[in-house]
Amino acid sequence: MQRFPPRSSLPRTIEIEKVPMFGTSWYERGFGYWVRRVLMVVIGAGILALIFAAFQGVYNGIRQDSAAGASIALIVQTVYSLAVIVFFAVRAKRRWHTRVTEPPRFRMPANPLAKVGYVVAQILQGVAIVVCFGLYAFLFLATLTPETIYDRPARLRMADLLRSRGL
Amino acid sequence: MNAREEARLANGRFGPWQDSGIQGFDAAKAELESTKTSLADAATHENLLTKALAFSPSDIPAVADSLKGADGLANLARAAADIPVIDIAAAGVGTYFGAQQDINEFHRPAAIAYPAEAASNVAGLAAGAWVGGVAGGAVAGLSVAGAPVLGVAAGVAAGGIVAIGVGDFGHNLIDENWSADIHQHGVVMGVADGIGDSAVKTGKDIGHMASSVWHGITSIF
Repeated sequence: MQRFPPRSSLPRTIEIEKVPMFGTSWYERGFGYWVRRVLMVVIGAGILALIFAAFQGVYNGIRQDSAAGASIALIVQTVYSLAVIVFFAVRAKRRWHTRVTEPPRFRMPANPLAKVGYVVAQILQGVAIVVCFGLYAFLFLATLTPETIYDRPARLRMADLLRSRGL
Repeated sequence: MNAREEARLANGRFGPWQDSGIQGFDAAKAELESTKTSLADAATHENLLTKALAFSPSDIPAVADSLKGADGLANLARAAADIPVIDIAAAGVGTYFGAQQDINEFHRPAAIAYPAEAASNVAGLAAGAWVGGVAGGAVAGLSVAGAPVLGVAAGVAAGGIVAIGVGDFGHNLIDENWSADIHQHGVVMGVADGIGDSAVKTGKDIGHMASSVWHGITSIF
């Protein structure tokens, strides 16, 4: 991982970008940065435990109705979650060197029927991702990587800027 | 602004821009373009679902107007007005039932039960809003097709569970038998035991709630 020159030695015109949750602490990765990282993992574990309890509650509810149904739901949830984790992990790896987050481009279709189909598809997509435990597990796993998906683009942009200024 | 001031000569007239000024101007222009693209994209993905889920009091023109130009304590009101309506309703209901339980089961005076329960529910709201934003932003940041919807949906779900969980955790902390914990385990371990106990109860409450919701849904069909 690239080390940057001390903050105090930077020219006045170079401003360190503020990143959600980390502020400018990502620059030195000092004590303040690691306190935030540890808090992120601790709070993330608590959130994941709450979400796990909710999924477990639904599983228990299904089991009271049907043991076979509960087994099928568990298998489907496990396979679906693993697939989503792998999908997001591959996606994050591919975008690991991307400096700017570009939102996906899609135009709402002009045809009224296609428009309805698009909105229905979006609702289904939203529901499908909400009921996937893997999504929340991935968000927690993303807090454990050496650099996070939150501060990585800022580091890349700073490295480019310093290189262009010969620092 | 800084670039303009840097370009000002000693006699007060404007000279040529310095490299740093040009760089700053280009960066600001690029950021503006990127934000405009994101906004336009988000607008094309807005639909009834995302609008309904993210609807907040500040979307009402009268509320937005009354908050314009407000400062000091009003900043708090402005922040609160940005929390979606669904969450506010859930916190109100949570405060009422939690306080009623404190009053009936633990014989606490209403003057203590209501503020304590309201505080824990407000903490839940804040935690939920924060988690919702972080989770939604992370999913949208991965630029998956339909990410705005995925982001909103994931954010609402994670934020909702966290809002309820933190509110319930606060309620369980209020109801915890601290004197017994401290008497049995000492001050430090007693407090730790009480917090752990409240966390376990919260997990069970969320599980029971999810189970009840499931039965509620299946009973309709």
